[in-house]
Amino acid sequence: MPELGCRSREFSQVANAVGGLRLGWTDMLEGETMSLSRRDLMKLGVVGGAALALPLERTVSAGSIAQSRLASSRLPPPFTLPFRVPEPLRPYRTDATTDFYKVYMKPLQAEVIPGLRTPLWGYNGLVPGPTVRVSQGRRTVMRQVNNLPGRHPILNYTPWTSVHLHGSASLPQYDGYASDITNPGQYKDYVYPNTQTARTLWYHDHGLHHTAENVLMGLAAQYQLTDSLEQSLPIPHGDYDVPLLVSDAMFASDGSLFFDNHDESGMYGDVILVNGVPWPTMKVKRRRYRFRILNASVSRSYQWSLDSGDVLTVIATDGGLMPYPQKVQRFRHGAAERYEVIIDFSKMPVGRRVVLRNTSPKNNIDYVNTNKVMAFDVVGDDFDPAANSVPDVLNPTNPTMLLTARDAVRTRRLDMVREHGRWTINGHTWDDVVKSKFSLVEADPREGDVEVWEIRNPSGGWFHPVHIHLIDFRILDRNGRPPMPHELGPKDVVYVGENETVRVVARFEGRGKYMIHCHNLVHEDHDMMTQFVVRADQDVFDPFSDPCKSLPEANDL
Amino acid sequence: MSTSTSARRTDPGTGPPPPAGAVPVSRSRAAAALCCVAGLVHLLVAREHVEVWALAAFFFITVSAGQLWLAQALWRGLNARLVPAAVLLTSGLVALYVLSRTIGLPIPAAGEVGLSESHHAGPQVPGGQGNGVPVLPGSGAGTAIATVGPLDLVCLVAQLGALALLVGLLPAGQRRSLGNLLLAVGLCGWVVWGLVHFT
Ligand SMILES: [Cu+2]
Repeated sequence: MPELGCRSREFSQVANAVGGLRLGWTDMLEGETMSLSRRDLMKLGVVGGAALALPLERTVSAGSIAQSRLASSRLPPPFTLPFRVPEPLRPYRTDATTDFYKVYMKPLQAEVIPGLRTPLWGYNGLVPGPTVRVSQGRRTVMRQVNNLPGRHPILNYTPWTSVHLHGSASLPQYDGYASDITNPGQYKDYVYPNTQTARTLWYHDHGLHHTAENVLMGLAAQYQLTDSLEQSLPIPHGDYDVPLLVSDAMFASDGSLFFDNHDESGMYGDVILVNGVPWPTMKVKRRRYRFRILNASVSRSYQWSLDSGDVLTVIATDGGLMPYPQKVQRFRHGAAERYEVIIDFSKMPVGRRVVLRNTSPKNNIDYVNTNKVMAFDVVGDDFDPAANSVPDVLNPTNPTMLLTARDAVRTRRLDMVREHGRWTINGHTWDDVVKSKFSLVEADPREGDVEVWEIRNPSGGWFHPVHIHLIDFRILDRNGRPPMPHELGPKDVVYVGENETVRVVARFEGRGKYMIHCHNLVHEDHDMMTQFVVRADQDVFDPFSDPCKSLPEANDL
Repeated sequence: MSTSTSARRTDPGTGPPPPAGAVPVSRSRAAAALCCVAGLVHLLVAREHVEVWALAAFFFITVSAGQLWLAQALWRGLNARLVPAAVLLTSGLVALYVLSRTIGLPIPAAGEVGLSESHHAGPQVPGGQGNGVPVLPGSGAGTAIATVGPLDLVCLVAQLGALALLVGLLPAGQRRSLGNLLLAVGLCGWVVWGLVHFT
């Protein structure tokens, strides 16, 4: 067999050959004609085209169902649906010190968009989940049973869970540590001390890799802790103390949630939901109301204002009552932050409609009606005139709010950076924590230490609501300037906006390992989460020290 | 289709046909260049795969070595008996690539550690069922389906070009039967594409 020769030709000929489209080469080998006929080229074109088209189509993926977005014309017009409040959660039993609750995470079909059924997951089958109200000093034991299906119906993952009570200084094994997971068919009893100041907390899923999806599916609810100071203040209570869980979602044409994380940058819906209802309308009496606003969105941040131009009086932040109320025209609210706000409807005429608006902070994805949140229609009904004011002083002695930078024994830095497509904190991700067998920590204060943490976002392309578990902190400054008025209270999440450096100060009380992460849940899942440890000489609990159990439930609650 | 018809036609861009018994140097060298490109891309991606799965990296290094060897052999004048093997190898690699980008291969997602979107390396989470990573519609994230990047496309186009040139180097009989085989595979591919695209 002769070898193919090595005689060189001009470059143009090589180029022709590379193109492979020119016909009529008549090179010979063993007396046979060596050329690509039109038919040969056609055959190669068919196979080559398929080899290019198939990977580019990329939707043959197993378990991946193409979704089509629901037309915006199918969405309800804003302010056409009635406002509702999430149901309360009643204890399963109580004893001298403890309230025991049972919560079953399970699927449900909800009519969020009129005329369409949306498959969701809810605590006790409710979205948002039922509200827990507890008094300071009483312990809570909450059995969380994962009765979710073995696979997400669209996204094809196994929905293990890890329930985090956000705002509670729980022990590490009850803090919803992302890798301390409960699979479908398992349950875990969470213990909450409730020793902190009165505040608006929330319980939500924190399961590794799919927190964003589990929360979007509905696994989020408020948990209100009261204390004697909060009860004694003449601020609105009872019916006039109203939870507002604000979230956003997008829907597919079949009614199911539409999932798009925009290349792992965030999930943004075209529907704003308040307590699970699109742009609801609430009837309000001519008095003051207290709204416990929780931004339960996966990624979106808001800037609230009233179309009437009236002020919003902020009285409490994540960690409870502020030292002094703050009157603002508008304020910025990142995911997972909680602000308690008083709105005074007393001077408004009956029949007046006031709209809570959202002038969206930058780097959110906005749609036609994401600038509206809900409406308040003023009615002339009688009301209880008690607890209808805002005192000038709320909680001036909260120890967190008395901390200064001078109290700190050291300063640490957290750099929130996107590197090679990954979201990182000081260059680390939760994968790194897992690979280190959970030994990697960004900080290791000793119990009782006061530290300043400087959190930096060097990018102008996105913002990070940064959550530090376990502690309440005070915001010292932002880019060297004082914190915004609405942030002048105890916090556990801080909005670290574009090109911002925020300094916070905290005392580390508690023991063991706790997470630090971005509360844009898409960032968190991909993988902007790491941890710190509070060192102590004894009684340092491991996050894995009380793992979940398999169903059936033991009768020990 | 008669090959003799096209055989008599001369390419206007390449001047008169070479004398009988000459070898198709230009195409062989073009194929060599394309194989070289593909081999270098495979060498480049082998590095990314080391972190995910050492065996995958070994596979890429082997493929790369094979393609670089083929490139030099084609440049110097390959033994014609090896052309069918080179055709099959190249089409096999293209097929494997297409599978990895469509239904996925039963290996950890290729090239997905640190460099692209789906970076959760471990297929299993301790104590968990599966890897727990949602598969967002259309994204392929979280599965073994790798993403299509510019580097892959360079490699794919180089391999398709090399494949065309190698097929042209085959004797007429082999060219016809292999061409028909490739045509059948290609048509199946288009049927699948049509099903996905239009349903
Ligand atoms: Cu973030």
